[in-house]
Amino acid sequence: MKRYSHQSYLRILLQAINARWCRPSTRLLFLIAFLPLANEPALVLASPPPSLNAKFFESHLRPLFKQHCSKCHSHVKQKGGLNLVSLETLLLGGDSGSLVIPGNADKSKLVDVLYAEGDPHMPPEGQLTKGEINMIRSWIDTPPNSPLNLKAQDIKNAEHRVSVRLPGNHSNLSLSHSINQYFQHNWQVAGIQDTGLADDRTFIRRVYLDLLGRIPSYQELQAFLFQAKPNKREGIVDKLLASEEFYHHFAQVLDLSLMGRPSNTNKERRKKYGWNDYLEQVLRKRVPWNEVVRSFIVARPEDDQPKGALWFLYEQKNDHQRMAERIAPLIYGTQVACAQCHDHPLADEIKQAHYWGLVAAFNRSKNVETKNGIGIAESAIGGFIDFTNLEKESQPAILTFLNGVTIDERPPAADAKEEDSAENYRIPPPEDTKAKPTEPATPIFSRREALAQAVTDNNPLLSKAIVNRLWAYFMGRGLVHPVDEINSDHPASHPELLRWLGEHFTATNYDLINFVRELTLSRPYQLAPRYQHRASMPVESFAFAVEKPLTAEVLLRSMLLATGQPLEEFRSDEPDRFRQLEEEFSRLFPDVFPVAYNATLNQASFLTNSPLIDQLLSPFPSSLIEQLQHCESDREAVRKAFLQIFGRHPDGQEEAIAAHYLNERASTPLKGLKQLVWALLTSAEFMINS
Amino acid sequence: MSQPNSQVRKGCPEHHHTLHRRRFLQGLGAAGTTALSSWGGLFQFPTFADIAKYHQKHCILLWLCGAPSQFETWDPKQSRRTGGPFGSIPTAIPGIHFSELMPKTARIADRLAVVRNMKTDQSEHFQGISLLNRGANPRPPFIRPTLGSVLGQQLGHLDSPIPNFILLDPCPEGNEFKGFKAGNWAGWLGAEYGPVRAGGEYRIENVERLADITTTDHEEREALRKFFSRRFENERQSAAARSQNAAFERVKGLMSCSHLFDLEAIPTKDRERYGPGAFAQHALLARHLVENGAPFVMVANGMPWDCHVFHHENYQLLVPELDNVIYQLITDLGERGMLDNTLVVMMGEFGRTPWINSNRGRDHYPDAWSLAMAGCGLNQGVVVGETDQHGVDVVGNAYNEKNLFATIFKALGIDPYQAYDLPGLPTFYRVEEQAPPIQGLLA
Repeated sequence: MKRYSHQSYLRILLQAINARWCRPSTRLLFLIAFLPLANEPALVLASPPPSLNAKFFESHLRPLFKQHCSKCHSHVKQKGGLNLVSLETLLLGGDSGSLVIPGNADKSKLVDVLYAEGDPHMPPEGQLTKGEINMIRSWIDTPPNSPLNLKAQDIKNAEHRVSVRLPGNHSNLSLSHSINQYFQHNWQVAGIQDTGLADDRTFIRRVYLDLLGRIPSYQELQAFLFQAKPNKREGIVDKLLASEEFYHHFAQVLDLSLMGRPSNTNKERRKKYGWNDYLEQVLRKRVPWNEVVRSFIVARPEDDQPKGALWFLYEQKNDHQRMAERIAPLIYGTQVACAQCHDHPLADEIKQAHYWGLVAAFNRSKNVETKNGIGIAESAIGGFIDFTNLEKESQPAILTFLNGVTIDERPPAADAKEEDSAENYRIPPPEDTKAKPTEPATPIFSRREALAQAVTDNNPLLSKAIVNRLWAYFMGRGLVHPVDEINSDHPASHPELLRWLGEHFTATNYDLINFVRELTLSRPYQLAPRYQHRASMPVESFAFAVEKPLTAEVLLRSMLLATGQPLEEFRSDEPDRFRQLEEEFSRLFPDVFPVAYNATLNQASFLTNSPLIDQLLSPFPSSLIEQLQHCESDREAVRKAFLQIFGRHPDGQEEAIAAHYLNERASTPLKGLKQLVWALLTSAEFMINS
Repeated sequence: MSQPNSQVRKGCPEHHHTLHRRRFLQGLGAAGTTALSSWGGLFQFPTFADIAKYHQKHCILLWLCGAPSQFETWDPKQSRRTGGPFGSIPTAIPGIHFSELMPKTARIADRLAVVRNMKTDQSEHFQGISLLNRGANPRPPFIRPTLGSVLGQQLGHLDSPIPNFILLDPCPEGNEFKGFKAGNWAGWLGAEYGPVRAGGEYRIENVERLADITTTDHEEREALRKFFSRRFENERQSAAARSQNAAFERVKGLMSCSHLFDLEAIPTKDRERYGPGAFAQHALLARHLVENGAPFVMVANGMPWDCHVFHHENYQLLVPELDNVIYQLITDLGERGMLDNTLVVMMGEFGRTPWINSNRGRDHYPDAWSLAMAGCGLNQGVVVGETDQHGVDVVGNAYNEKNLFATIFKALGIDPYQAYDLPGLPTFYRVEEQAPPIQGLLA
């Protein structure tokens, strides 16, 4: 590139300013932007004594800038030499000088660019609200120690929730009542009215879908509706939570959310090596969650313990980084893969050392086949690795963990060679390395045990992580969203609630079932969906039921049930067809906790044209179609189809239109019925849990 | 299928019969009206031709999965220890030789752009396939969209009846490629930018109307579904329902273009020219689809190029087939005036070792390998880069996947360095690190 001297810059600048196309505002901008070039290079001054309210910056402006500006103006990237992540860097200004003149918002460039007519305009493709701009203005105009003169409306954006006192963990109030109190207070303060409790039909469908992974049958629906007990919602929750179907479904939810959708091979292996059974057992026996996570990490089940837990590490096939990346969301609540090559760019607390510390906890491990089945051996020596940051600076990975615990372990001297000996082991590795050992090698000092000790006992992050996931599963959105990002870059919508729920979970012996029970009994879970006139109500208010598109497994089971196929019989009588359906659904439809939901063309054409779906609509004894064929009238058939598929009656218009549709096909009634059932099964009301 | 006893059910009330079926369905809402009144006219052939005109640029990727050997294709080392048993032949570019297994391609070398100095850093299939399809190494948990998804998004539009990203691959298997295929192609662009995959019968899955349903019933059934579903969408302002309804909206379009996937409709003499075999026939089909408006077609066929055993025996079959396919495709596109706006990329995920293993095979080698491109305004008859006399390393400048992607995007008129607008995610660019395009290819 051609280099220009200062003089020639000046010349070009003057030409530009004098050109006729240059509007006055642009002229000014040119001057501001290029003035430092025209003079001697500007000196960067050390940050002046704080002349602005630092506390308010932290609480209100930092989150705002992070959301709107950090893509271009943060530690990672500084467009225009500008970094808005902290007050210090903001005060340093950018290439074109200082941004803020304390006490004078009118003359502060930061404010200029925010208005719609600002030139340049920031953020380039967004617009801050008037309230937000006013908030920044008052911050600049007010001396640091005076209270900011803000209209309540102005700060509502940045502070749409108010913390309330949550009861102590030994209070007599049940968890669900505490949640209710918390939100009722919150909504009141924020001027939000919730949508009111969902009716029984909506509730029963929701709770079956969430707890059993399928819609309720017609009989189950009727039984619930006609029950007259006052606390029947509590009753049905308790009944479902004690059912085998719940253990089975929820174990599957845990499986998919802990390990991800398996390949066909791994699906078989998870079954074969007892992983699925183990998860069911965890639920059935109410094993405390911290013990579960401990058994994933230590992966040395005692003789009387089920072996399945060790599959968590075993499936990672000796890939220690994958082990670290899989376990991090469980023990830290956040992904750490971002910190593999550098400290986390946006969440300051996650250092590269944490990523490699976690890798080091696993890097003495090795999958082995023993005489008693598979196991994960651990060496007593080795595993001292270095990692390198982007500046090519290298440092040793030590056992340091995100919750602040560091394990003291003495590395060998730089050029010393470590000698291994049987004395280092509780169960030494076999001397003949080719022979199958009886038990996997177990060192006296085990890094895996050290990690387990550090993160499964007295680690608030462990509880927060699972609590947030369960919250997201039932409420349709995590208190931190996405669920695996509990870090400073993803502030919780209700931080005090998340903290409190975590503490409560810890105090109640890490009991998953109890927590699930209380969530499903809470008011936010039982609210009605958001109808049109409330379209603007924010999702994170939890003042209405957030829609949850059915996951692949739940959609399939529900379709089978709605069309009248008894699940277990179908699975055993027609294993091939069942497997085909399972494979197609899990290939095409959503996973648990999708970060974003988008229906696809492949889903739609599968549902429209696949013979597998068509087959589900064929009549056979006990099938819905068969029942519809025996209805007295078209209208009765329509009502029955609606009840069985949507769990509700059609309204007048729906009934008339659907009945007419059938009547048009009176000469081929079976076809008409199949088409009606298809149209109901593939419509949004069926495919979404709301 | 059993017919029900018509005595069992009674008809519906009298007054409903006064509604004419058409009017009834038109009454289901504005969208229903459009779908029905325009049916038959909307998705006819002229529309495809118009779309073909609208999409200025296209891309065909001949995906040579398993990693083809550079020695037996673009960068022969005749009479060197590493060269293997095959000789080399002169090409239409003076001084440039290809493997003797590629006589036809050698004749049209003056229309190609060959890159002999590729150097990448993944030597395992899964990682390599991902690298050359996404243009960057993974940065979990974020998933970068594949080339096809990006091009589909940039060159196509979502309401086009013809899919924006077509993957022609008859082979359900393919070792690591199978795993990759099962994964997430569209990454952070969202599932709607994933490929529509054509199966072994050269048809897209699930586009054939069910046998026992008439066209009218098929449409009206959908209109009924839409009536139920739209109400839900509107009442709840449901984003999930909106996206489902939008997806169903596209099914008809997809079905209406399924005839484009019908090889039988392509003249026999063309089919014979391309030769037998799924790969050749799919290359022809790709040409046909692009001609009818498809922005991006990826032609793959399992993972045949991974010959760790009996390399040369296998390549005696594989390379001549590829040779003919390239020759036919490039001349075909040229004759039809399509080469100016269609970019053809021919590559695998890395190259193969200079040395030959004890099973008479060549193993994985990402250190120095070749690929070729043609069309879309790329310089013709150029060979970029060179390897040393044994093909062990690149001499001078080397290019990686980022340079390649920058070249592809530039050739197709897409800004390679644009940032993705992904709220809540770190900033990613279409091509990271401002990697420059491969020098000497872009006019």
